[in-house]
Amino acid sequence: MSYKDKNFRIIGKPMPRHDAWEKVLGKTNYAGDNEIPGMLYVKALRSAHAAAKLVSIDTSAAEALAGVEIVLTAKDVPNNETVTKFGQTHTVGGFEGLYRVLADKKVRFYGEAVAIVAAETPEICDEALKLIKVEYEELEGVFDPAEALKPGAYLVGEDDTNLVCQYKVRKGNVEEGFAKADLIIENTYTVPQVDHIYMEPECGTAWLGEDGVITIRASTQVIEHFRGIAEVLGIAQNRVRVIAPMVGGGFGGKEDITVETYLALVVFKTGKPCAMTWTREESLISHGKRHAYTMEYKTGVTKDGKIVAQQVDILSDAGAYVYLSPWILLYSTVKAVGPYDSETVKVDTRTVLTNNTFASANRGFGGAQVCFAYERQMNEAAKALGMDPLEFRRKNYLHKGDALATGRVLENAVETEATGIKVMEMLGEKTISDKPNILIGQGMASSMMSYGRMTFLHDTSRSYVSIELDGSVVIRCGVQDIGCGQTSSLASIAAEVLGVDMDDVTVYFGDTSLTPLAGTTTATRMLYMSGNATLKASKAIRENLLTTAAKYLEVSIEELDLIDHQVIVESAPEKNMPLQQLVKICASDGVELFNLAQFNAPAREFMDFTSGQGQVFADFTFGSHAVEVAVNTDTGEAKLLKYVSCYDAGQAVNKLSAEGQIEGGAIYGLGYGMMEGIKYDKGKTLNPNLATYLIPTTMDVPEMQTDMIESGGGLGPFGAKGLGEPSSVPSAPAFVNAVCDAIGAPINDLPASPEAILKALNNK
Amino acid sequence: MNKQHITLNINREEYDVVVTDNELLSNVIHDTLGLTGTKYGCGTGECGACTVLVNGDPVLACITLVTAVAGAEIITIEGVAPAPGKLDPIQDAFLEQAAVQCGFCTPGMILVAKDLLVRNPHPTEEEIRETIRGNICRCTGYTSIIRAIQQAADPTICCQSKP
Amino acid sequence: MSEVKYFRPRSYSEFTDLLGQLPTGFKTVAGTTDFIPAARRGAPYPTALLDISKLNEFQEIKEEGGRILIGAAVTMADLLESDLIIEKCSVLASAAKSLGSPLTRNRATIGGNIANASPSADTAPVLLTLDADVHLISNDGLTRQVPLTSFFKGYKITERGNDEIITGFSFTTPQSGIWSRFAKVGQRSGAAISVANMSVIIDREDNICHDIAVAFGAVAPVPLRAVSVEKAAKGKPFDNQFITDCCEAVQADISPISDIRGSADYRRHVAANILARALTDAFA
Repeated sequence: MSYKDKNFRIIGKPMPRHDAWEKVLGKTNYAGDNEIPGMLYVKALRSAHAAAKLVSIDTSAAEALAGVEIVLTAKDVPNNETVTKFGQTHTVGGFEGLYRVLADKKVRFYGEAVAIVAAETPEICDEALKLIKVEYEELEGVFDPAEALKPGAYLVGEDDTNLVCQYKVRKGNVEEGFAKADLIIENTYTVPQVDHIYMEPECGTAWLGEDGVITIRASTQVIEHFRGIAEVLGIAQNRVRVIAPMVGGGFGGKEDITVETYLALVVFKTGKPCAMTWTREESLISHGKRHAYTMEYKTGVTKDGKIVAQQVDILSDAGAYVYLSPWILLYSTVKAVGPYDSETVKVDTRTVLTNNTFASANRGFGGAQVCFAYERQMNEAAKALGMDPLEFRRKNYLHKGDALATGRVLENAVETEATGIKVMEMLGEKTISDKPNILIGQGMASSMMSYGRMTFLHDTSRSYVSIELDGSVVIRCGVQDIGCGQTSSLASIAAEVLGVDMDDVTVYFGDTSLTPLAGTTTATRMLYMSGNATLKASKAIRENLLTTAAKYLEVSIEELDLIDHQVIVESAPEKNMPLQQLVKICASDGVELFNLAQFNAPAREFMDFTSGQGQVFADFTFGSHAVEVAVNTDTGEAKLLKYVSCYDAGQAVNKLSAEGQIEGGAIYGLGYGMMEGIKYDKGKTLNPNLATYLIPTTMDVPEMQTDMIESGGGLGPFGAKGLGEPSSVPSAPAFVNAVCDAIGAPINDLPASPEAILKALNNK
Repeated sequence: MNKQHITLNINREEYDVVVTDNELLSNVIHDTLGLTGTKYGCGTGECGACTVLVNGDPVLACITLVTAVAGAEIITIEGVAPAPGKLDPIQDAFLEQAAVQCGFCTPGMILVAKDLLVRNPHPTEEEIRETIRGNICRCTGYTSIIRAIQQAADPTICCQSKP
Repeated sequence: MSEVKYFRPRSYSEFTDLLGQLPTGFKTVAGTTDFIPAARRGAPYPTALLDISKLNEFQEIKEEGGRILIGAAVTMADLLESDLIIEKCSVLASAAKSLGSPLTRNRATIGGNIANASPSADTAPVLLTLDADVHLISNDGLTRQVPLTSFFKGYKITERGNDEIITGFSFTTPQSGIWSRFAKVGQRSGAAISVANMSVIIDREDNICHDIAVAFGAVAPVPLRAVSVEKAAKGKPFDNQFITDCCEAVQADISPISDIRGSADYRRHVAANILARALTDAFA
C-alpha cells in the first residue's frame, strides 16, 4: 500500500498549494514589495524612435539635479554587449545573437532603453529623464519581415543581412505527394505580436550583499542570468546573486533579462540599494513579444481523407534583437504540421530582424502560431472534403510508435485521438439559435506541444532534500515559482515518498547562492526536471531510511513502507515505528538523511539542419479543445457558450493545479484568438495600455469543463507530462474554427475580432 | 509641493500620513504604509489589482486621490482575515478551489467578492461574473475563482474536482 | 510633478465660497476615473483640482415638476441602482451598467462622462435622446442651462467655459409606454471603450412611429442625434422600407474614422445594423 503501487496519498489528489495561504492573505512578498532603507529608484529613458542614429546624449543637466545619484549610458556599462554564436551560417540553422544593455550608436526599436537614472525618489527620476538631451537622427527602418529580406533593405543590426536563421524539414518528395492528392488546399495564415500581460509588471530590487556580492531580487523566470549579469559587469560569476521570490506571472516574458542588469549596474557603480518597477506602458512597449508570423500552408489530401502532402513556409518577425528567435523558430519548424501523419512534408522557416519591438519567448515558444495554422488548415481540408472535422483528424492522428516528419519516433503515450473524441463528446449537440441574428458554431483543435527543453541543450536540474531531526522535511531547489505550483509540487513529491504531509515540507527556492540550480522555469520543464530531481533525492533518502529500519527491525526492506509519519512493517505491524524515531537512529548512526540529486534529461546531439531530421524534444503533451460560440451577425461579436478541453497529463501531481493550468492556459490562448494584438505605426506601439490592449475578462469566457486522461506515460515524476504551454496552444484555433462554422466563412488572421468576423461574414 | 497631513482609517486602524495633493491612494497604501497586498498592475484602473474597499464599496486605489478618501473606512486585503492564523470563508474557498495561481490578482478578487456576498449573499454565476469583470486574471481562466465565490456563498459546494 | 492644490468642499456654501477663489486652470473632478489615467498618459496637470464628489446637492437623483434632475456627481452605480431611473428611464440605467466595471462604476460620474466629452461616452447618446439640459455654474456664481444637443461643439470641445462647472442634468420625464434601448458595441464583452454606441427612444402605437429620438456615439467627432434618421422615421408606418430608409439615413448623420479600435467601414456597418435591430425589436 504505497506510492510504489500508485496508491498515492498526495500525488494526484486535489491539494491546496502551500504558497496559496500567503497569497490569499496578501502577505506574499513579491519582487516589488520590498523597501530597503536608503534605496534609490531606477528608471529608464526610452527611445522615441524605432530606427535612429544616436548622435549624442547629454546627461549633464540630469546629473546635476538634486537627488540624482547617477545617470548611465552605454559608455558606462563595462560590457554593454555580449554575442552568442551558434552554428556556422544562417543557411543551416546557425545564428548570432547580440544582447545589448543600453542602446549604443543606434536605436533599433521604439522604447529601447537609452539611459538609466537612479535617484532618491521616483519623482526626481521623472524630472531627470526629462533633462537628458538625446539627439537622434531618424533612419528609415524596416517593419515588415518580407521587406526586410529584400536586397537593399534597411539593415536593422550590424550584420549584412536581416535574416537571423532558417530551418527546414524534408520527408519524402512533396511534389510527388501533391501529384497523388485528389484535393489541394492552400491558405495563408497570419498572427500578430502579442504580449504576456502578466499582472505583475517587471520589477525588482538590488543591494550589495555580504562580502560585496551584488544581490538582485527580481521578478524573473531565470535566476541563472547571474552569469550574464556578471559578464555585463565584468566580474566573476560567483560575485552575483539572483533571487526570485514568488513571481506574479511569467508566461515566457520574464525569461530574458528585464530589470536585472540595470539594477546590478546601479549597485555596482554606487554601492547603494535600488529598486525598479516598470510601468505597464513600458512593459507593453519594450519587453519581448510573441513573434508575428506569416504562414503559408499547402495541403494535399486523398478523397478518403489521408494527408499525402504538407508544405509549409513560415516567415517570422524577430523584431529588433535576436534573443530567442532561432529556438522559437525551431519549435515551430518541428511542430509545423501538428500531431498528424503526412506521407510527404516540406517545411521551410525563416526569422528576420525588423525595427518592431523584439520578439522572444511567449507561452508555446513558437507552438501557438503553428497550432493556429495547422488546426485551421485541418478544418479547411475537412471542409473541402465534406468531412466532419473530427473524422478527418482521426484519419490522420499520429499514435504511439509513429514518427514525426523529422524522423523522430513517438515512444511515449500519444493520446491525441482520445482527447479529440472526448472533447467533441463533452461539447455535445449544437445549441439551436432562437434569434435571427445569432449563428451558433462549434469548433475543435488538437495539438502537440513539447515539455522539457530541446534535447541538444543537455538539460539538467538539481534538488536537495533533507529530513530534520524532528522528521520535518526541507527542500532546497533553485526553481522559480511563477504561479503554477512549481514549489508546491516539489513538496508533494517529497511528502509522498517520505511518508509525511505536505505541511511537513518547507521549500527554499529561487536563490543562486543558497539553492541548487534547477534551471529555468520555461519550456514547461520544471515539473519534469526539478520534479524528477526531487524524486531522485527523496528516493535516496527513503532508501537510507528503510535500509536502516530493516536492519534495526530485522525485517527485509521489501516489507517496509513510509506512511503518515511512520515506518510500517506490513507483515508485523507491532514493529511499526514513528518516523521521528528512525530519523534519530539514522542520525546517530551517521546515515545520510539528505541528498543532493541531479536529474539529466535524455541528451541528444543536434538534429541535422540540412534535412530537418533528428530528435529535438524529449516528449510531448497531447490534448484537444472544443468550443461552441454564438456569433451576433449585427456586430460580429462572438460569445462563448461552452469551452471544453481534455489532456493526457500523464499523471497529475496536484489535481487542482493541473486543472487550473488547463483552464488558465485555455483562456490565455483564447485572448490570442479573440482580441489580442500589438498595433504598430512604423514600429511605434499604438496600444501600450490595458484600455487599448485587451485581454479576456470574466464576461468574455464561459465556465470551462476539463477532463484528464492519465496515461502515466510521461517522463516527469510518476509518469507526469507538463501542462503549462500545451494547455494554451489549441485555444485560438478552436475558437476560430467555431466562428468559421457559425458564419460559414474562413478567418485566417488573428485576432478574430468582432470586426474581422463581420467582415468575413459580409465577404462570404 | 503642496503637502497636507491626513488621517487614514485602514483596516480599522488610524494612520497619520503626510501626502501631496496629487498623491494616489495606491502609492500611499503600498509604498508609504507598507501594506503591500494592494498591487500595482497597470496604474490606469483597468486591471483591478489595486482594489480596496472604501466605505464598503470596491474602488480602484490607483485612480483615486488619497485626499479624496481621508476619513473614509478603507479595507485592504490585510484587513480581511478575522484573526492571525485564521481565514475568512472567502479566503478559505479560494484555497480549496485552487483559485490562486500567481496570486497577484487575488487580493482584488477577494475584496470584490467580500462586498458582493455582503450585498447579495446568494449570487448567480452571472452575477458573480458581472461583479468581478473589472478584475483581470491571466493565470486561472476565472473558472476556479467563480467556483470559490460560489463556495463561499454556499459552503455545501465542495471541491469540484473529480477524486 | 507639478504643484497642484486640491479642494474638496463639504457643503454647498463652502463650494460657492470657493468658486471665486479658484485659480485659473482649475479642473473639476469627482471620480477621477478619466482624470488620473489621462494624467498618466501625459495630459498636463491643472493648477488645482476641485473635487465635487462629496456635495450632496450634486449626488441627488430626483423628479420635480415633471422633470428628472441628476446631479453631476451621481455615479454610474447610483444610476443603475436608482429605482426612479430604473422605473422611469431604464435606458439610462442600461448605459450606466454597460460602462466599465463595477469598480469604476462606484466612482465614475455622469458629470465626468459628459464633461470629458469623449465621442464614445456611454451616457451621452442616452441624454441626447432624452433631450437633456446641462446645468452649469461659473466661478462668478452665474448659472445657465444649455441643451445637450448644442453642448458638444467638436472633438472633446464643449460649450462649457474653462471657468464653468457642470452641476447636473435635467430632462422631461419620459412618457410611460415608450420603447427604448441602449446598445453598445465593443471589442470584448468585458469593459471596453465603445466602438459604437446608440440610444433609441420610440413612441410607437399601432405600428406607427409617432416620435423617435436616436443618438450615436463613437461614430463622429461628437456624440450626436441622428436627425436624418429621425426625419425619415417620424410619423411613418413600420415596414421593411422603414428600416431601409432609416439605415440609409444614418450614413448621412455619422462620420466615423478608423482608429485602433475599429475601422470607419466597420462602424458604418454596425451603426446601421444595431439601428435596424432596435427598430425591428421595437415594432415586433
